[in-house]
Order: sequence, then structure tokens, then C-alpha cells
Amino acid sequence: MGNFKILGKGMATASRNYGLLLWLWLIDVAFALVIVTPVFLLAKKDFGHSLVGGSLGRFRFEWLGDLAYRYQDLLPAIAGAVLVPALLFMGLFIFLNGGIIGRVAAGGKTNLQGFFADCGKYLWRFIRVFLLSLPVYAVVFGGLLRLLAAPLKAWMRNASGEVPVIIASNLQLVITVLILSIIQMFFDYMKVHIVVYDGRKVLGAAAATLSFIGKRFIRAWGLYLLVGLLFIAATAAFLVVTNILPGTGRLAFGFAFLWAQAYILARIWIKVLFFATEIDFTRINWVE
Amino acid sequence: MKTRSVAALCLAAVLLFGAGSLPGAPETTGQVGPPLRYEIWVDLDNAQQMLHGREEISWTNTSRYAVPDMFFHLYTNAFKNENSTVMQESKEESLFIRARVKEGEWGWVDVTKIALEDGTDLKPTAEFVTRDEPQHPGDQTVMRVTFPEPVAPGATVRLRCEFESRVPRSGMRTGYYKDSYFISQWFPKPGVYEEGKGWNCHEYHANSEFFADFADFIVHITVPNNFVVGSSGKLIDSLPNAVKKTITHTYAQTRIHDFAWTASPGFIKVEREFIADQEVTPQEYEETARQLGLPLEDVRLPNVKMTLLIEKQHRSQIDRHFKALRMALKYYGLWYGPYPYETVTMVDPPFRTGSGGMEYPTLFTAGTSVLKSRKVLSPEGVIVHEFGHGYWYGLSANNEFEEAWLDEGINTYSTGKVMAKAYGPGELGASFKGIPVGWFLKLPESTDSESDRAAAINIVEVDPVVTPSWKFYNGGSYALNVYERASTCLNTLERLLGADVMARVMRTFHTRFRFKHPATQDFVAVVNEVSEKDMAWFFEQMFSNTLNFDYGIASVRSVEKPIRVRGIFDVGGIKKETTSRDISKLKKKAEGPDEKKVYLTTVVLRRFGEARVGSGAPLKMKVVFEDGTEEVRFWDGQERWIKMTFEKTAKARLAQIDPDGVWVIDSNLANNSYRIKAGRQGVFRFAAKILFILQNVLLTASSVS
Repeated sequence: MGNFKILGKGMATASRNYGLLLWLWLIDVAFALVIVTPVFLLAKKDFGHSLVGGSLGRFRFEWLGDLAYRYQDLLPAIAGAVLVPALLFMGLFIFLNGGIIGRVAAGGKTNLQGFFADCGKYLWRFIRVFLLSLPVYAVVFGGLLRLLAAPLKAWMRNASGEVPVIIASNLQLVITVLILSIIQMFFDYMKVHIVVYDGRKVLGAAAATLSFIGKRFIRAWGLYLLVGLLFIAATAAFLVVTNILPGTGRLAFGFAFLWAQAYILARIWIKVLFFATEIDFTRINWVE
Repeated sequence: MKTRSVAALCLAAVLLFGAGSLPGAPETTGQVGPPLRYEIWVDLDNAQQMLHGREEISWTNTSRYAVPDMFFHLYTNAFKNENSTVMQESKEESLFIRARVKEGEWGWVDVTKIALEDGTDLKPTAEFVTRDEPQHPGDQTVMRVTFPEPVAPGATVRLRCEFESRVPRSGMRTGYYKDSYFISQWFPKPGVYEEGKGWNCHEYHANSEFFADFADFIVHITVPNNFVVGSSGKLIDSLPNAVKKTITHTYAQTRIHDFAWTASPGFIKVEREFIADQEVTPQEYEETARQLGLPLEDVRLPNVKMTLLIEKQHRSQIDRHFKALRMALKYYGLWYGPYPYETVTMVDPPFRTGSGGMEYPTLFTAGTSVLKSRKVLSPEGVIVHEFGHGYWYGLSANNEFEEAWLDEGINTYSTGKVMAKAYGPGELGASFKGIPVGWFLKLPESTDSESDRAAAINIVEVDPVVTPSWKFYNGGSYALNVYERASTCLNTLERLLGADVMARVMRTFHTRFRFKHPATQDFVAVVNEVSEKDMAWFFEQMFSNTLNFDYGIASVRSVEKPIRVRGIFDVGGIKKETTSRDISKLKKKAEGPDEKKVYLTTVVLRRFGEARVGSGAPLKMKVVFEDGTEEVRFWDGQERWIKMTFEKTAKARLAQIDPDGVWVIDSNLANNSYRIKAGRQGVFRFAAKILFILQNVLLTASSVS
């Protein structure tokens, strides 16, 4: 089966699991709301009765400067208020990934009981996968990316104008994204391998994944990048529509809010799609 | 060609010995010429990045005191080693970019010979001086020489000087990259002799610009013959040398106080004319004359030759550059007086020379990038600002070391006005990896005055605006105070005085101090004189102190006025109690069809900040009632709070302090108004945006799991 067929099948699987998507969206909203609620209350206190409040919907220096002045001492607290939930969310997804992959692999519709059963079943194994990924990321960020960027940096250093600098720095970004996509793909397949084959040994899964991907790297990576392209397309579509939306009016606000949440749902759908295509790819190649 | 060089030498002689006037010279009828004259010969050695220079200086002692010595700026020594004041201050502030000079990239200047016209050698008397506090004894940016005899009042001393200088790789404002050079603060330059105070000659500081006396210049610049040169002044001669493959350009300009130049084989040189009658309509002349109270002839503008040196990679932006310069020439000319020189040279700074966004007399550097959104008003803003310095620094030449706001603040204020008039709001300029973010996202738009205010209110409590540049808490405080806060205070002043009065203030100040060195008290005096008000309090509060300005509405309450109140009352000698029931009965009785309820509205105003408004500038407060009526009252703002009550037949809907938006320096505009009924839509929109951003951050974080 070709990559496009796997992609189509994966899309159907991800779409069928709308219960799972809704559940993940709710978790994302709930986490974000924990941070947004105090911000909302603060904004209500400071701007609710003020005429300036009417302009809060758009970023304007009129109130941005005032906020910066008033809450300048709170900057570390604000950074913490974003960073800590982000880390917790990261941790939570180590747990949730078991449920996502488990339910998608099982096929059919997702029920909460089965979902959480899978979350619990694979938690410890996925924690070990996560721990294994840390030194890999350290090596990539600590050395590999720098090494790959060295010729580009030399080109930038000796550039006679801006164009080579812009090209080189964007090439550097593309290389970084591509390298990260390979690593992400590898650990995704490891998790899929653990679920599909109910493997308990993480290092064994790592070796098997390495061998599996090594034999069909281009196809596996191509599929992964295809899904990645869908993310880029969704983001582009979101930005295009957002930029043409009118800035004022309740209806416009309502539509903008729904459109933003549709984009979040699309991101979650693509997240599930990654796993769905990887599961299919693993199974098909096992059969082959 | 030879005849041309003879002509140039004759011209030099004419200048140095004080007869006649040069092309490009401003009208000086009835005015005493500048006390300084220079003739400089400089050769650029491209292989070694060296300048070999010779300089003849003529200085007239215009003071009543005999002067025993002379102080010189040797600014390039700021990049000589880590002991210089610039390097020390950069290190203290952790300005790594400035402090991190790589091996082989240091710059320096050596005065190899300095003597009087009669040959008396002054070199043995030369010493480096560091007088600024805190002291940096290793600094070599100020040199003093002692004369064998003091220079008597009215006497002129002529000096001959030779110097060698290595161009720093990329210093602050001066530097080279590959074959491109920007050369500023490069020649030994005397300080400013101040009557009764001696030489004003500060070291090169990390957070400061410059100060020098007006002078007449002739400069001969020799460069490789494939280099395109741009320079202060007017080109009067070019003499190629076929053997050496060099070319010597001679530039001359009277009544300027600095001289900078640039040379690169990579420049495209474009020349255009600013034709005043095409740029300014008769109506605009009339309107300006009316506003300023001047005869029409006084506001007419001259034509000016505009030269642009632009990097090839930016050639698509040539028209953008010229349009901005035309706008600047027009509005600065109309508002502050005609541009007095024949030429202006605009330089797109050579790549990686660290020289962008800087002003020099009749020449300035802009700065742009290859990918520029049209909605982002840059390079336009930089061009208007740096050209504007030709007025505020170039002509009204304050001491930038000691009172930088007088040029930076006034010029930022002026830039904002030109940009608003010529372009309107611009999009926030943000780029990622050289690609404008505005291509993908709708970024906020603002005028300069709005963004200036947002920055200004965040720096009020750190330093006063009027602080010596190198004594600010840090570079951020220096920049935000002297640029944005000063500009925002001037915007406030304009609203306090009215646009017409402010326009006359600025015109009077500029005209009076053209070719002079004004100080803060001169500006205050002009404000008081023109406005016929004592505005000293404004400058005391806003410029000389660190006082936050924040007046606001603490509360608004509307309640029905009681017909009767409870308690014991003496009625006909008998003590009678009025109860709640009695009041209810009275209320029911009073609720006839023609009876109108009366409401008591109480508004509490507070002075949250330390700054106060002055006498004669009370704060306006407006209350809007539900029946559409309005009431306006004034508060002198001296106490911490005041309670105002209104008795009306309608409840209050809204109270607003400073409803006309006079006090733009107010650090909290949100508390300037209070609606009884809260409006939530804006808050919801804000929260929804934050929610969306956070949802994306969380999803991105989850992808690492």
C-alpha cells in the first residue's frame, strides 16, 4: 500500500474517532483555561469599567504599555504560569498517548473506559520512552545541529549581503525541523511498536524500531512529512481566513473564536493522524 | 583636471582665511562666522583599513578669557582596547555586542604630529585626560595640548596636525566590512570652549552621542578609484590619480559641527532634486504662515539636491527612500525653517559596518533590509528621524552628552508628527529569520506617538529626562527617557498649549538657536515666552524628576436621593421618629406621574502618581448621564483625591477624567474612565486570544511527550 493510501486510511481513522478528538480538545481547553481565568479576571478588573476595555480585542499600544507598566514585576510569575502548565501538559500527554495509540490501534469508536485503560497500561513504558528521548534530544541540540549548521554559519559570516544570510538562516531552520521530524518519527514508531506488539522492553522496541525504520526510511519519513504538510496547510488556511475576518462586531468575534477552535481541533486531528498513519504503516509492512 | 585642483586649493584658502562664501553656505549676513575652520586631507588605505590624515585647524578665542590649552576628541580610541570608557561601560552593562571586539579588529587614532603654525611642537605637551565621573583612567578619547602662551581673547591660533587611524571592524557608528567603510568621529576634533567654564570635551561614552562647535570644513578624501564616496558637505572637485589608481574628492561646507563620509565600491549613487514648489502647495504655505504668525516669504522653502547612496541589494527601495526624504525636507522646513544647506546625502549603511540610523551634518544613515513589508514604515521612519537631526542637533546644536533630550526627544516628537502627516499609522515591524512576520500575521498598527507613549510610561521612575547621557541607569533608561519619554512629554505639552502655540514655540526655539548650543532652560524660556504662561512646573515635574503621572477615577456611584431620612427629628418642639415605613409611605405618595426621581452621583477622583498638574492647568472631568446630559468640572489635582457630587434627575452612565486626552504621559489610561455598566466584550476578546495562544503552546509542548 502506498503512502497516499495509508494517509487516506489514516485520515478516515482519525476522523472516525471524533469522541477522542473532542476529549483531547476538552483537556487542552481546560488546561488553558486554568491560566486564562486569572488573566480574564484581572482584565475585567482593570478594563471592565473603562472605555479602554473596548479596544482590548486588538493589540494596541494604548493598553499594552499600561499593562506592561502595571505588571512589570509579575513577569517571572507570568512566565512561570505558562511554563509550568506547559510542562505538566507535556507530562499528561505521556499518559494520554497510550490511550490515543491504543484506541486508534484497536479500531472502532473510543470509549472513555478503554481509553483510560490504555493510558494506564502503557504509562510506565511511555515514561521510559520519554526518558530515552531526552539524551537523544540533548545530543541533537547540543552537538548535531551545531555541526550541521557550521558550514551555513561560515557562509553567513563571510556573506557580502543580506540575501545569503536570510537563505542560510532559513536553511538552518529547515534542517532543524527535518532533523527533529526524524527523531519525533522514531519515538512515535517506538510507541506504536510497543502498543501494536504489546512490547514491554523499551530498549528492545528501540532496536526493533531502528531496524524497521532503517529498512524503509524514505517511505516512513515521506509519510511522516506528508502529515506534516497537512499541518502546514491547516495553519496557512487558518491564517488566511483570520487575516480577512473583520475586526469588530459580535458576529465576527463569534466566528473568529469558532474558527480558532476549529484550528485547534485540526491540530489535534493531525496529532491523531500521525499515530494512525504510523500504526497502518507498521501493520502493512509487517504483513508485507 | 589640474585647473580644478588649483581651484579647489584657492577655495580652501578663501575658506581658511575668511573671505567670501562657499557654494552651499547658508546666509550668514550680519552673523559672526564660526570660531573653527578645518582643512583635512585623508587617504584611505583599503588593504590595511588605515586612514592617513593631515589637518589644519584654525580656532578663534571668542571668549573674554585667555585660553592656555586645547582639548581634542580622539573618538576612535574608544575602540583601542578594553580600558576605554566605551568598553568599560559596555562591559558594566553587559552590552556584549559592543564589548566583544575580535582580535585584529580594534581601531585607534594616533596624533603623530601637532604643532603651531610657526612650527612650535605641541606634541610633548600632549596628554590624555579623563574628567568624567566615574573615572576610566585608561581612556584615550580626550587629549589636551598646552600652548606656550595662552591664546588671548579675540586671537586666532592655527594648528597643524598629522594623524594615523585604524578603522575599527565594526565600532559604534563607524567601521568597515570587506571593502565598505563608514567613517565618522575620525579626525582629531577640538572640544567646545565655553565662556567661563573652559573646554567642554567629554570622553566617548557607551550611552551618549556628541557635541562640537560650528566650523567651516574643507576635506580632501583619497580612496581607490572604484569606490563610490558620500560625504558631509558639497562635492567641489574630484581629481583622479591614474598611477596610484586613486581618486581625491574635495568637499566643502560652512557652519557645520561634524564631518562624516562613507566609501564603498558596492554603492549605487542616485541624485534627485527636492523642488519646493512641487512639494508644497500655496495653501500649505499660507496655512503654515498663518499658524506661525509669519510673513509668507519666511516660510518658503528652497530647492535641495538629494543624494542617495544605496546598497545594490536594496535598489528596489530607492523610491521609498526619496519619498521619505522629501516628506522630511518639506515638513521640517515648513515647521522649523528652511533647510539652510544646498545638499543632503542619505546613506543606506554598508552591510555590517554598524553605522545605521545615525546623523551627521548634511549626511545621515538610514537602514533597511531586503525583505520589507510596505505596511512597515521603515526605512521611512529612520530616514525622517535622521534627516530631522539635521535640524535638532545639526542646526540647534545642543550638548548631546549633557542634555540629549534636546535633540533626541524633540526630534522623536517631530518625527512622529511628520510620519503621522505623511504616512499615518504603520504596522509593527517584526521579522523572523529575515522574513517579515506581517506577511503571515495581522500585526498591530500604531502611530509613533502611541508606541512612544507605551515605552515612555515604563521608564518614568528610573531617571529624570534631563540627566547626563552616561549617567543614566542603563542604555534602556537613556534611550527610553531621552527619546520616547521626552517626546511623549512634548506631545502632552502640545495638547496643553494648543497646536498653534506649540508650533510657534518650536519655530521660535529653532530659529533663535540655529547655529547655537541651546540648553534646557532656553527651551523652557521660549515655551514661557511664546505661550505667555509659566510652564516651569511642567518641566520640573516631567523632565527633571522621576514622578509617575497617573490621575484616575476611583469610583462612580449614583443613588436615588432620599426624600426623608430615618431618625429622631424635632417637629414643633416634639421629638418625632421617622421610620423606614414612614419613608416608604412618603415614597408611594410621591410617585405621581409628574414626579421625577432625583439622583445623587458621587465621583471620586484620585491622584495615583506622584506627579501633579500645575496651576493654570486643572484637570477636566466629565460626567455623562443616562438622559444624555453632560457635566464638566475641573480639579486642581493638588491633593491625593477629591469627591465631586452631582444632583440630577438621571443616573450617571460614565465619568471621564481628561476626556480630551491632553495628558498622554498618564501611565494608566484605563482608569481615566469609568462606566457604571461594565462592558465585557473587549475583555472576552482579549481572553479568547490569550486562550488560543495558550492552547497552541500546550499542544506544541505535548508533541515532545
